[in-house]
Order: sequence, then C-alpha cells, then structure tokens
Amino acid sequence: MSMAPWMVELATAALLVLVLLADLVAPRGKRFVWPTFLGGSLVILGLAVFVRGDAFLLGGSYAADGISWLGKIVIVIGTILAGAVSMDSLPIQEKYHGAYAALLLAASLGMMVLVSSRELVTMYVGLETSAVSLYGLAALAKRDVLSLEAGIKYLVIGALSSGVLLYGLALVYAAAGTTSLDGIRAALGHAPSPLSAVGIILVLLGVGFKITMVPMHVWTPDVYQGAPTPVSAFISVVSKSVGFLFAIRLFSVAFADLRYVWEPFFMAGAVLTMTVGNLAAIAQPSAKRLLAYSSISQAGYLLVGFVGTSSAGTSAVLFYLFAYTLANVAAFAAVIAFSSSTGSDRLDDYAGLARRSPLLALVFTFALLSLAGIPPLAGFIGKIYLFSAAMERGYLWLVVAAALNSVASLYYYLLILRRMYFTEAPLGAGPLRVSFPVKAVLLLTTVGTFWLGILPGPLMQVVSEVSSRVFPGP
Amino acid sequence: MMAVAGGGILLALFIFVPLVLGLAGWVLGRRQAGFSRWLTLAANLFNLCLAAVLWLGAAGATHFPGLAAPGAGSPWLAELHVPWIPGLGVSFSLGLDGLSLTMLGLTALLGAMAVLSAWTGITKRVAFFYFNISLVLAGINGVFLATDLFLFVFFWELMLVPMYFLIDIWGHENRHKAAVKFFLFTQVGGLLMLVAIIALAVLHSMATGAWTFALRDLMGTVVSPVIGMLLMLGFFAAFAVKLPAFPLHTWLPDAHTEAPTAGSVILAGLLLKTGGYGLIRFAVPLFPAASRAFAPVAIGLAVAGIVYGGIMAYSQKDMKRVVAYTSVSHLGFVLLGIYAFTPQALSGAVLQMVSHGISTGALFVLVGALQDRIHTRDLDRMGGLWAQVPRMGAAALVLCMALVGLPGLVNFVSEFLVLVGTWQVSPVATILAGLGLVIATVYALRLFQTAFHGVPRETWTLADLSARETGTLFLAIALLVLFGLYPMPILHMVEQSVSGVLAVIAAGGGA
Repeated sequence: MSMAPWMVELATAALLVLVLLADLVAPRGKRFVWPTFLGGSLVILGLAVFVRGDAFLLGGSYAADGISWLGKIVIVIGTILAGAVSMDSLPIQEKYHGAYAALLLAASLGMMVLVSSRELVTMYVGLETSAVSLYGLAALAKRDVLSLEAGIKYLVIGALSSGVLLYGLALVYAAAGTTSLDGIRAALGHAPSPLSAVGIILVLLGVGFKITMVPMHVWTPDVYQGAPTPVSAFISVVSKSVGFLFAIRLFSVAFADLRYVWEPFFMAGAVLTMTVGNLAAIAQPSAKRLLAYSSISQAGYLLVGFVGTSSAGTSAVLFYLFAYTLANVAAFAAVIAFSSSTGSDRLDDYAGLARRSPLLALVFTFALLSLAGIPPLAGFIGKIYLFSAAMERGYLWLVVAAALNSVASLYYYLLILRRMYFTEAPLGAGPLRVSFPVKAVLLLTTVGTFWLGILPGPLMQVVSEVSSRVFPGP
Repeated sequence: MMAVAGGGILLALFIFVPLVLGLAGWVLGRRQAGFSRWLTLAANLFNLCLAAVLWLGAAGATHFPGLAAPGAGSPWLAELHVPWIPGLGVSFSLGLDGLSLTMLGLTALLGAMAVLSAWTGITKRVAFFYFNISLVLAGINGVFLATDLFLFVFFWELMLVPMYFLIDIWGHENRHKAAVKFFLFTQVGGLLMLVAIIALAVLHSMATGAWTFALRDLMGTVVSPVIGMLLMLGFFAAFAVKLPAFPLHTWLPDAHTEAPTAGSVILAGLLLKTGGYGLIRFAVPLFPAASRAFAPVAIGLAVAGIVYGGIMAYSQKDMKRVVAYTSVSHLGFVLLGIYAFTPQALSGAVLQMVSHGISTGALFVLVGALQDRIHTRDLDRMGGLWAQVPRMGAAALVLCMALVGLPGLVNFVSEFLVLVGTWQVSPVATILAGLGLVIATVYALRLFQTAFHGVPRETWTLADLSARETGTLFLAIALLVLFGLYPMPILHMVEQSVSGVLAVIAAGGGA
C-alpha cells in the first residue's frame, strides 16, 4: 500500500508531535513553537497541493479524491492563516502557546480525516477529533469569562448536535445495513422508509450545526465573540468549509437518490440562514458578533449553491469556499489587528480607522466588499457561480431571495466602511501598529481575493474537473 | 484566442486609462493633491481625444485604419474579445458602435466638466475623491462598451460603491440618508437584473449545451412568453431605477441634491444614461416580444414621469431639487422614445440623452458654483442676482431655455423627434407628453426669475464666474447650440444602431 495518499495526514500528525516537542524544549515560552508550526505547515501545504493521487483505501472507506484534495488544501491554508494571526495576539499566557498550536493541528487532522472518509464511522471519528480540539481552543483563554462561556456553550451544544448526528447515522445504518456511503446509496434506493427519512433529517440537523444553518446557528455569535479571535476565524472558515464538504459527501453522494427528502429542508434553511444572518448583523455593536452573523449569512449563500445540481453545485460550493476563506480570514485578521492594538471590539471604535491605519482599513474594506459580492473581488464571481448552480435546477425564487439578501448584507458592510472612512477618530487616537505576521496574512488574503476575482478561470477549471469526476454524468 | 477586429484594443483604453491614472493619482495625490486632479483630468481629456478620433474615423471624415467599414456585415465598428472565465463562457468582450461611441464621447466630456467643477471646491480627502471619480467613469465606460452580459454586470456593479462614497463623503447636509437610498434602489434593481442574466444564460446552456454570456448568442435564446416577460422585467427593474422611470425615481431627488457638484454632474449626466443605454442595448433586443407587449405600460410610465417630474420641479424651493426633478421629467422622454419603436422616436431618445447630459450637467455646475458663493440652495433667499453676477445669469438663462426646449438648442430637436415619433404610435401619449413641455416653461422661468431677477432678498457680495467656470459652461452651451442647429452628426452616428434595434423588434422573433 502506497503512503502517498496518506502523506498530508501523516505529516500533520508528525508536525503535531514536533510542536509538542518544541514546546518541551522551551516550556515557558513560545520561541520554538511558532517557527516549527509555520515551517511545518508550509511543507504540508506543499504536500497538500502537489500530492494528488486518486485512490481508495481501506476497502473504499477512505478516499484520496478531488474533494479530499481540495478540502485538505482549504484546511491547511486556514490552519496556517489562523496560526499566523495567533502568534502575537493570543490572549493567553505564553506557556500555553504550545498546547494551542497542537490543538490547532489536531483539529485540522480530524477535519482531514472527515473530508477523506467515505464511511460513516470514520467520518464520525474525524468529526469528533476536530470538535473536541475546537472546544479546547475556544475555552483556552481561561482567565476570560467570555472565553470560558464560549467554550462551555460550544461544548454543550456541540455535544448535543453530535448526539443528534450520531442518532441519525445509526438510523441510516439500521435502514441501509452498511456504513459505506456507496453502499448506503444503493441500499436506500429511491424510496425512503420511515427509518431512513428520520435518519436523514437527524443527520441534516447535525450537519446544520457545523455549517451554522438556521435554526442550528444559535451558538455561533456567542462562541465567535467569546473565543480568542483567531479561534473564531478558524471555526468560521475551516470548520464551516469542512461542514460543507461533509454535507456534499453525505447528501450529494450517499443520499443523492432521496434528494426530495432533504432538499426542501436545505432550501428553507438557505433562505432562513441568509435572512436571519443578514438582518441580525445590521444591529450588532461588536465587530466579532457582526462577523459571526455575516458568516452565518455566507453559509446561506453556500446552501443556495448546494441545492443546485450535484455537479455544478459542488463545484460552485468548492469555488466559493476558497473565496470565502480568503475574505473571511482577512476580515478576522483586521479585527484581530484592531483589537490587539486598541483592546476594543466595538464597531463604534472603528471610527476614523482609515486615518489611523490606512492599510488596515483598506484591506478590511476589500474583505467586506468581497463578502458582499462586489466586483472585481472573488466573492462576486463566487456568488454568480453559486446562483447559476441553483438556477440550473430552476430555483428562480431562491436566487432572487439570495440576490435581495446580498443587498441587505452590503448595507451593513457599508456601515462599517462609513465608520472607518467618514467618521472622525476619537481625540487622542494615534496610529495603529499591526504586527508583521498579521500584516502578511492581510496582504496575502487580499492578493488572493483580487486574484480569484480577476482571474478565476484556473480555479474554476479545477473545481469543475473535480466535481465532474465525483459526479459523472449530467 | 484573442480576437481583435479593427481598433479593438483602443476600446480597452477607454476603461483602463481612467482606472490606471485614477489609481496613480490616488497614490501620488496623498502627498500632493494636485496630482490626482491633473491625472483625472488628463484621463478624461485623453478619452475625449480618443473618442473624437474614432468619431472622425467612423463618420468617414478621415481614414482611420482601426475601424470596420460601416455596413460590412458586423454591427460593430471595432471589437475586442479576450477569453476570461472559459468555464462559464465569459469573455472580456467590448464592442463599439455609433451609440456607444456617442455615449463614450459624452462621458469623457462630462467627466472633464465634473473634474473642473470640483477643482477648488473639494478640500477634504482630495486624492480619494478623484480616485472615486475615475472609478465611476471607468465603470460607466465599461457599461457603454461591454457586449458580454457578465462583463456588463461587472461594470454595472463597479459603479455603485464609488458613487456611494462620492455622495456619502463629500455630499451636503443629508448625505447619509441620500447615499443609502441611492445604494438600496440601485442595488436591488441591479441584482434583479443579475438574476435575469443568470437565468437567461442557464436557459441558453440547457438549450444548446454551451455556456455563454455573449449578447449576440443570448439574443437567439428561445424562451416562453411568461418567462421572457419575467426576465425582461428583471432587466427593466435595473434600468428603470437608473433612468429613473416613475415611480422608481424617489432616490434621485435626494441623491442629486445631496451629492457634491461633480457627483451631481456624473449622476445626472452619465449614470442616468446607463439606464437608457441598457434598455436600448440589452432589454429591448434580448426580449423583443416581451418589450412589445410591455410598451404600453412603459409609455404610460414615461408620460407619468414627464408630467409628475415637471409638477414636482415647479414646487421645489431647493435649487438642486428643481434641477433633479427636471431630470425625472426629461428622462421620461427617453423612456417614451425607446418604447415607441419608431426611428424618429428612438433617435430622439438617444439625442435626448446627449442633450440632457450636457445641459443638466452644466446646470449642476452652475448651481454648484452659486452654492459655493452664497452657501445656500434656497430659492426663497435668492433674487436679483443678475446685477451682481451677469455672466452667471447669462449662462443660467441659456440653460433654463434648454430646460424649456427652446428651438436653436439641441434639447428642442430631441424632444421634437421623440414627440413626432410617438405620434405615429399613440397620439394621446404625445399630447400628454407635450403638456410636459408647457410645464417645463413654467418651472424653468420660475427658476430663473426667482434666482436672478426681481428684488434681492438678501445682500450678497459675490464674485462672478471664474475663467475656469466660464470656460466649462461656455463649452457646454456652445455644444448645445451647435448640435441644436446641426444635430445631423449625432443622428448619423447612431442611425445604424437605431435601425438595428428596430429591425430586431420588427422581426419579433424569440420572446
């Protein structure tokens, strides 16, 4: 058995050990932890991008296919960016940095397993590995009441949703008699039994938690606000992206022939998620809460593409995940830079930011405009791609709802821009210092956002090739 | 596989020169604000020269190697196609015909006027101001050139944010409300159009198996009458908001009034024209049958807008609001001319876009100059200004006559053509629209009398127009007179585009 398809996972596990060792060398500081983390992750990114062999392992229950390939790339990019913005801005003692970096890697390892499995039990193991690590990350700033609250809330609701998911998976297994995704598809056939229908809906609820689908989104604002901001960025970007890949594996593959059972739920969920996310975001006074609601609404747009045809929908979702990852990390990085320099998370304090740090304001602007879908940024192309996937199935009303929602979202993004550019900074507010790693993340993500917006062709080619291989035929 | 017919590469210059110089001006202008001003002006003058050269070539006055001979099979004088997103069949396609060339010339002219009008008036965030101006102008030029619907939406959306900034940062007292209103109306319309475009592209790809957003290919898409009407309404929503057509005009008085002078010039002179242009270039040719069915409604809305705008203009106290409502009235003529589907009316509608652009742009420059001096736009506080500022008064007199549609100015020609063309279709609509001309006399004379004649109500000490302002206004007035006496160059230039649209309507295929 060749090791190539496992390479990324093995390297991540090895790096996890290395980071812990680096922590042992200098137990009270972070001196060795971050260089090890960053150097190692960049190597892993290289592996994730260049090692691509389509293979089925462990009797078909573990796959190295297009989805897992792109999924791992998103995970590694997200992990590197989250790590880079963490270095200088974590609100925790230096001696915990090693544990932090290790948990980050453990979470991404779990997610890599999740996006590569084609079998329910392996999936669940991957999911829980990442979830448990994320609970720890959210609560890591244990001196901070909000962080503790976030951790506990995340843990309780997360455990509940995992339970629901597991229950659903068990029912599906009971109905199908197998845990392999292809086997489930064959066994369930085209007509749902009560057992399989209930199972699918419970699974849908569990997945909804991961992708912050309304009404399973209630944990999001509190957790994003309370958790250390880099962790919020990680959860909002990587965990959500993986949630969508999980949904594609389950619903577009295993439950594909029972589309009419789950599709109405996702359609209603898409409309609710966009609308609730956008309307709630308008009135938020805290930058992190605003980004939380905005990322809920982004999940709604993704769902619009997800209910499109399997092939076009999957490629549109994959493309948008890249656009969303870049823009959302940039937005969170801007918030991190601002709050680590001023100690504030209130949007009103962003007044006059354009004067205090033109670069930060500009990058934040591009990130928000990309999330809103304004050309020439990645979000514009991505949204059109998502909308046309839904349109291919004739869901005109859904696309109109999504378009109207984009207007609402642009409204509150513009409110932030207005604060930064048009309101005078408070007296005595000096220029901001942005640390080098955060600056690098801001620049890289912005360049990426422009790149995907102006030259989306290559990535689009890749995602459509990947999804046409996973979903042959029309 | 870049395909360039004729001087296609020149077309890209219309978009990229303002973009690059605007960006350079922003970067350099952070230290020395003068750079941004000069670079933005230079971009507009460059575009003006480019348009003039292309114009002479297209009119056959000089031999211009880059242009296709008229009537050589292609409706375009020059084309540019560069593949952009092959997966979706999107290409960076630009096409130039008489209609777009006319609009490009207008854009460069009014762009230069807007820059000159802001020369000394803008004092805060100067470099950023001119960057936004350049960005809007680049977007407008893109809208006038795009022949790929994806690219068209791209430029359409590109105009929005900088215009929002222009109103929201440099506007007057109630700028925030006006900016948000402008943005909400435009964006809702724009996104409905986006949905319609995606739907059309999906329908086309289902029928033929190939993804494309090219206007030429999508024109042949066969859709059922009901779907055709729905999609047409999506396009109409975007263009009717921009135009603006009654009753979607409510953003306009606020936005025009609160925008800074240069912003008002661009809004009234150019952004509104993108609505008219979009109807002629996209909404009507893509959905000829639906457009024919919809024409009575559109004509009704046009007449309502003409009369309503006129009455509202008469009852305003704010000088900029008066001018804003006259726009609602005058663009009613554009809508009327488009949906009458006769050669005279459609050429009249295009000419009306030009004449309204120049005359209202100049009027906003003038009102802005007056406001800079007396710091109010309240007509009740003015009066007898002629004695102090005779040059300004004279310019105002000519521009008010343009509002009336006095013979000798191009506004007369265009409104007359629209009315003649509409008479063949609907005498009732023509008579009601003619009523609008009577109302125009009343509000234009009232505007002029209250401000410049009569007894001064307050004592002002004013400087008359500066050389820069005089030059700007003189140029505008000279063009109004020139084309008023001899409109044939413009009418010739747009003739082929007009007959092309009418041929599609007459053939009546598709939806």
